Amino acid sequence: MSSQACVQIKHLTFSRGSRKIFDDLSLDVPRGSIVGIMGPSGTGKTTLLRLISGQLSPDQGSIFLDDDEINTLSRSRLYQVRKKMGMLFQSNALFTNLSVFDNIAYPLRERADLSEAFIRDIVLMKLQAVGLRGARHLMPSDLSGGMARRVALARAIAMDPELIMYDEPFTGQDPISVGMIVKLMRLLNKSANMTSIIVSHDIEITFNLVDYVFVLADGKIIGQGKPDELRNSANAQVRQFLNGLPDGPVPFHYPAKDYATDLMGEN
Amino acid sequence: MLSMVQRIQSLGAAGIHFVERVGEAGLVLLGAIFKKPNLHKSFPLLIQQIYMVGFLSLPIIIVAGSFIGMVLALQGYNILEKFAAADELGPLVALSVARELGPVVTGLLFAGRAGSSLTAEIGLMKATDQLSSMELMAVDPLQRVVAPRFWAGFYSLPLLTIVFSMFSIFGAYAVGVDWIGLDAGSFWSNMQASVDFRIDIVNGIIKSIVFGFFTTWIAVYQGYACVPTSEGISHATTRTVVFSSLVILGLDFVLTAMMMGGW
Repeated sequence: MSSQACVQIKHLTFSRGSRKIFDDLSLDVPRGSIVGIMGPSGTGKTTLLRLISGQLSPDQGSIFLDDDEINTLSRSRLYQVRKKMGMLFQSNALFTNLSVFDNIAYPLRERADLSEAFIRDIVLMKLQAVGLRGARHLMPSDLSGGMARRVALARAIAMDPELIMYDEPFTGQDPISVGMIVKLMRLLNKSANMTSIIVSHDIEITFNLVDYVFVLADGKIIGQGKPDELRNSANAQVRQFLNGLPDGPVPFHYPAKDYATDLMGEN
Repeated sequence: MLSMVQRIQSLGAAGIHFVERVGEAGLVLLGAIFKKPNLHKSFPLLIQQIYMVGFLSLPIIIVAGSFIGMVLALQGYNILEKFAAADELGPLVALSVARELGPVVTGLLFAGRAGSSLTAEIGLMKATDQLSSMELMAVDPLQRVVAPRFWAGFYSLPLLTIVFSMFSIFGAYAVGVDWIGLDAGSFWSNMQASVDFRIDIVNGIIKSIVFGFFTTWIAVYQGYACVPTSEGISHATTRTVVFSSLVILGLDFVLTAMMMGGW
């Protein structure tokens, strides 16, 4: 694989039941870049993150993180490789029985051979980065949505991963939280040279943040390029998505029989 | 209307589905308990789960045990009195509780109280991506979530059965001796003379160990494999209670037959 690519996906095919989610999908995520994965709902963006992290296996094709082909690794090797990954879940996925401090300390206690004093320092540094050092004793149920997202982000970067995946990081966040998360994403990318993959529907924020965007639909990449290039895309599907048009190549209505026939049909 | 062939097909499909689920449950169990545990990390989790699953089940076990003992004493006295054998109330209660009611009723209560709770907890962890996030942190949820809960249930149920049996006998004593007025000495000495440690008590504990194994296995598997939605968790919790109850009653018959057959 290219030494420039942190993640490389080759000819990926993946189905759920009879529904094909990805059909011969190939893409590269350059090392140290921020890449956006966008597309209409149900196109498999979160599924793609799960495939990259090895939580799902492709039907065909291969997924590489550095030189490791994720889908062929043994469980123990996959766990080794996952030390290089971090993920911010859409649901935050905080452990509800652990405090904010213990949530962030969890991966360090489990996977790093560090003293408790050192773990404490790392946790406080991560909490300081997300502005929640003073909230370390709170439980997840005591946090607002924005605070929970920031704690989840602090936990995702606790092990200083090479690759961090954000699943809808801006959803349900107020503008202040969004601003803080965007600032942190930039900081992590610049200072720690982390490779970032962002799955989001928020076009403006994402376009201002990322270096490169892939737009997915119907199991394929329908558009890709730098944000400015995509804004000028001639592809009707891409234009519909970026301009938020309710109807177009992606129909507003779920496939159904004729409306009038349906109304006149069985009562 | 389904044709005969379609009915046979759906029966076959159901059979295959059942075997698949049992195989999957077996793999979950293998992944959880047949791996070398990290005692430093697993032991505190086990203690915490024994508290959650076992200790917190004590109130319902104690109350249920006491009432069952009291009811047994009332019913038993009314029947034994007709045969002028009221002094045999102690053995009647002790044998009923040690051999059957202790393991079975404790198992059923455990499935309803702790098993459903285990399923709901693990299912909710799955629905809120907590299990996935563990996977992403390179932490095996089978080791950190399923294994401590399984072992906690496995260890707790026999201990709860002993507590249940003790309180049943105390309940029977309260009704038989303190209320009805039977002789306390006869109550205890007849019980001591009739109850055999190996045949009655050990066999009862063996039953509770078997019930603990299957009840907790069903509970953790249903949570781990549930559809991660509110409806899916609800169905999984119901399945835990139903399957556990049926397994307890079915295995009780099998084990009793084996034990009575001189096993």
